[in-house]
Amino acid sequence: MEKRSKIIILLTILFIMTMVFIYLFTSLNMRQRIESALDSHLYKLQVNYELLLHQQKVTANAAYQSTTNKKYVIDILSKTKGASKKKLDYLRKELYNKLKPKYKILYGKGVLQYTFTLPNNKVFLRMHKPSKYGDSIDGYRYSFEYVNKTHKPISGFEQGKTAHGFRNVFPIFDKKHNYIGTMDISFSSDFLLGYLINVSKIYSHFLIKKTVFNIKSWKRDDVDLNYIPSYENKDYVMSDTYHKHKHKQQYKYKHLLNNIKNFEPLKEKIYKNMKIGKKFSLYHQYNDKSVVISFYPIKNIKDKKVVAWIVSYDHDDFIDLTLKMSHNVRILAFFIFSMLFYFIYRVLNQKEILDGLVEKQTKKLMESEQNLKLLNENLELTIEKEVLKNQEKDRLLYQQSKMAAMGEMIGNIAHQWRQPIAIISMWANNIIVDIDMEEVDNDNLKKYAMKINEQTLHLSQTIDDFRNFFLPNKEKTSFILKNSVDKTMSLLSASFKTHNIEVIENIEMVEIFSLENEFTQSILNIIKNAKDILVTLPKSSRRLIFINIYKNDLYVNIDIIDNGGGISEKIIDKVFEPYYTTKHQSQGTGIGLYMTETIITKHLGGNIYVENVNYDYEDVNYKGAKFMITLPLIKELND
Amino acid sequence: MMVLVLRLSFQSKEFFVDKKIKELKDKVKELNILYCEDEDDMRLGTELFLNKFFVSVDSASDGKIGFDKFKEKKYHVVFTDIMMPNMDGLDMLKSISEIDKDIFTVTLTASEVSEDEIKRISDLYFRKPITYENMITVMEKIVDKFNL
Repeated sequence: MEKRSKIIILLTILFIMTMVFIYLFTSLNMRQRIESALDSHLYKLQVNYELLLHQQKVTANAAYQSTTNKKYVIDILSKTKGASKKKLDYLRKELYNKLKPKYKILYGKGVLQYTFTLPNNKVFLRMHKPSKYGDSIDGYRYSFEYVNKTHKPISGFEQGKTAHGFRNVFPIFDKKHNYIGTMDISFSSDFLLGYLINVSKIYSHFLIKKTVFNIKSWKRDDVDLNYIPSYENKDYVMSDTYHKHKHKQQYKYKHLLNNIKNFEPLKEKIYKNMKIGKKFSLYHQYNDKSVVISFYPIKNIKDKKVVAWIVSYDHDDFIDLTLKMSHNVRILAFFIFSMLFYFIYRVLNQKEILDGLVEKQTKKLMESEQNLKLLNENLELTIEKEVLKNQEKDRLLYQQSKMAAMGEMIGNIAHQWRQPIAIISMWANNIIVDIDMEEVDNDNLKKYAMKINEQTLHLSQTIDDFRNFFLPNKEKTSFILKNSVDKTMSLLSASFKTHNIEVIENIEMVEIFSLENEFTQSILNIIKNAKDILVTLPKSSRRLIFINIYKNDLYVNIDIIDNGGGISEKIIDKVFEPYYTTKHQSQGTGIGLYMTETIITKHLGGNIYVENVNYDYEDVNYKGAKFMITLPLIKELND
Repeated sequence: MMVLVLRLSFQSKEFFVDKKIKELKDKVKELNILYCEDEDDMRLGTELFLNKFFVSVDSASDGKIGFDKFKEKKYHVVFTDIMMPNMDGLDMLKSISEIDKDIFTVTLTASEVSEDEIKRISDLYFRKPITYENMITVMEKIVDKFNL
């Protein structure tokens, strides 16, 4: 979880940085584009302005040439020198009349003033105002002074006392190259603006510095100019152009101007730029449209100081587009990068989750491995336990079988002993009765005692037989199978006699090398088993047990067959299983055959099988169980 | 402990038995006895003992011989073992009781087989070994049976 929040923080920082970068980049790009757009506006204004100025110069020059080419102009002006006031009036009238048609043409070309001055700086004739003349222009008409002094032409913007304009002042010489005065062709700014609006489609107006211009004193009938305070700069007045040049977009233009008037930040910017005095342009968003305002400075002819500005207003779709595009790019970038970063976050998070999962799974795996290991250990332990348990069980079974066998033996001993004891007891009774009857005779007593001794020998023999039988053989010995069978049968003789069991032996003389007592116990168990089934037979039928021993090359076979009717086919496979018994509890424990199989297969290295057989004996057909034991003939194997 | 008890009981009866034995012998000596036992040593010892009380004791080595003897002579008391070849004691007793219902039978056996049946069919039943007291009891019962 901590890692996830780290990722979020990191990605957020990255995202913000990316956004800032994109903002800066788009801003820079936008500014460059806008800058270039603004420049183009400014350039357009400048080109048109300069073109116009040049045209005006050309017009002025042409006018000058055509005027000075006129012989009467030179003649009239030459005559002014030293002429009386009357003569001057005459000359003035003559010149005016002669140039009147020309002025009309020039007026149509935008010429506002068409003035002749004499070398003494006094106005000789104003074609545009012939009634005013003779006044001196000293001090406020620098251009005239300049030409009078230098006899060289000059052109440029000049701010007059009450008017301003673009002046072109030329020197006039007579035939002898004597300087005889100046000629001035001036164009009004108004004409210039009209030209810009109507020809170049640039909506513009003039700003003129208040300090050099006195509005109050500026009331002239001859010049149709209307000045109002500048919207852009409080230090300037502006020509009310829109008022004059009717155009379908004029209203909008005025509207723009009004908007700027009320927009202080823009005004401040404009004010600062104007103070610098260099051309500039800026744009302003108005009604979701950008308005480009370009300022081009106009310098005074005399001191080259900026005294006026030509200001143009223009819509610019490109800027709008640029702004919109930048905006869109930013929005787009925002979404794209948002998605991108979200995607990255998801991927990282997924990875994190996956890592977490992997880690979890690994942990689980390790845990399960641990568990498996534990399980294995447990399993091993369990197996070990089970093995121990089994061993214990086997041991217990063996113990039980031993105990059972012992019980069997005790039963047999009791059986074997009962008769001798009964005999002894009877001889003892004879002694007692002789005494009681007072007929004691030493010879008789001796006879009785000897009879008793006979029986005690018998008892002793029985005990020895059983004890030998029970002593476990630790080592293998060579023994003859017949002897083992005889020993076994001698133990059972009393019981067999009691139950009328006939034992038919068909035994080859075979000597084997094995554990004798184990072998005898095995066959004893099988014979006992046969006996147990035989005693249940009716008295009328014979009770038979066959013991056949014969050998082949490698093995000796011991077959024990009874006539007990055989083992039920259902259980014949289970007779060697422990605790499996068909007998009544008093008769068996159910481990005899199991122990027999164990002894034969594990201790003696042989095999034991059982099957049901049908056979004839002394012309009678019998049915019974056949136990077959095969034991290796070790002697021969050793050879 | 058991031995001690037995001995005590044995000794306590001795005086009493002493005089009584001869009286018993006199009472029963005239009775004819048949004794069946397949074990030679046992038969020998027991026959000798019986002869000390009875004048006439016939013995047989199995049930069949015993039954044959019984058919030829009048016997008062039959002593028999159970587990015997050819004809066991039980079958013999059954056959005898069919002929003479008043016969007094005593079974002396080592076997536990068909104990209940033996007890039902015999007047007296003893498991081997038979003690001296057992034999005296037998004598007394015979005296009672025949009102001697």
